[in-house]
Amino acid sequence: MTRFLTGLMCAVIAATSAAYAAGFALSANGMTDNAMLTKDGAFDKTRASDGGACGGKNVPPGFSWINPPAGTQSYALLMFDPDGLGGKGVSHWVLYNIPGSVTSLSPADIDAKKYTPGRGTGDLVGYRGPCPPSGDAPHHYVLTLYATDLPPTLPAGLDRPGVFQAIDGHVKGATTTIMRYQAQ
Amino acid sequence: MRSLALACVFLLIAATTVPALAAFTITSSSIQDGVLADKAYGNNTNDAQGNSCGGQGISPALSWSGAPANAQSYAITMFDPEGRGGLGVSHWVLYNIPGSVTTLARGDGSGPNAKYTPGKNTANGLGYRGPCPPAVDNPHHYTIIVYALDLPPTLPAGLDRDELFKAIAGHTIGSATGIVMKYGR
Repeated sequence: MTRFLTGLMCAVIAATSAAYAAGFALSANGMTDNAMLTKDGAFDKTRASDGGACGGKNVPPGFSWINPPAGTQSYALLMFDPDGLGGKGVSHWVLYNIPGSVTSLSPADIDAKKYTPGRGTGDLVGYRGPCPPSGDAPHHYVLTLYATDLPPTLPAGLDRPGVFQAIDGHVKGATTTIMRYQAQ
Repeated sequence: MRSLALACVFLLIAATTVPALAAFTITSSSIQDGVLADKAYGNNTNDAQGNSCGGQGISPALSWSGAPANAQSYAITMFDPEGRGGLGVSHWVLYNIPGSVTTLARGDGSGPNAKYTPGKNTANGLGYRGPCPPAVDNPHHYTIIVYALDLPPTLPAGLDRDELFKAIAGHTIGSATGIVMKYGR
């Protein structure tokens, strides 16, 4: 009962943070910021650190955003794990040339590699679900959506630094949400 | 309100169950992962429009455990990917922390007189630069990472984030899974 009440109060706190509602905001469908990703969203191949199975399906929850800056012509979405590779960081996902009229990405959009998927760490193209070393505390998967004043016509095959270079001077705003994941 | 927020954190931890044993991890008595931080840790100067940021500019206390046994020194960074309209802001660079140290007290990383070697932040100041996101923005996310290095604590003074990363390339033997602090005005 106490736990239920605390949960209820947590929901109230979450609701009161809507005071910031006018801002550009990205969210992962069905998840609060910094929540744990379910196993479906984890990588479906083997773990880089020890070759074990990641055990996921590589299906992320889908994403949506509100209140984009005026004049947005395209978006880029980047997912990065600053804890990955022992602190070097892992670029998990690079997606760009998302037209300014778009405000969500469904799991099917992501699976179909809609728009322009770039190259992540290891030259993997498209969404690469989390697969942190077993025994690590949960890693943080930082998803940042950049609104730009560029038409959705950037060249294919860019990696994370390549996208930063391409959008430099054209970013109208950015918003972040975080998903956490731990080997299970 | 704060104890309630803490209860929420405990509830979240209880709900997610953490089986990790000796993971290299950061904890803090000042701030919590994914939770809005107190104004004490906000910026104590003015924003670009000349309005007070409303903070006190105190660096949060940090402790870390489970570091690789051969760590000779540590470095700390705090970064806001949403800052400067998406260009990102480096808020804190601190390094040459000896390998025997596992705690940074509240305020020890603030300003040019910070303990160990405070590096340059985006505003070209030395030491901790408290958050001051635009007043209309949703709370930004400030990723704090502790890097364990196999380098002695003798890196040159005045490095910024990029220069630090260059200096420690190939020498990072572990990173403490970050606390992501949230801050809004």
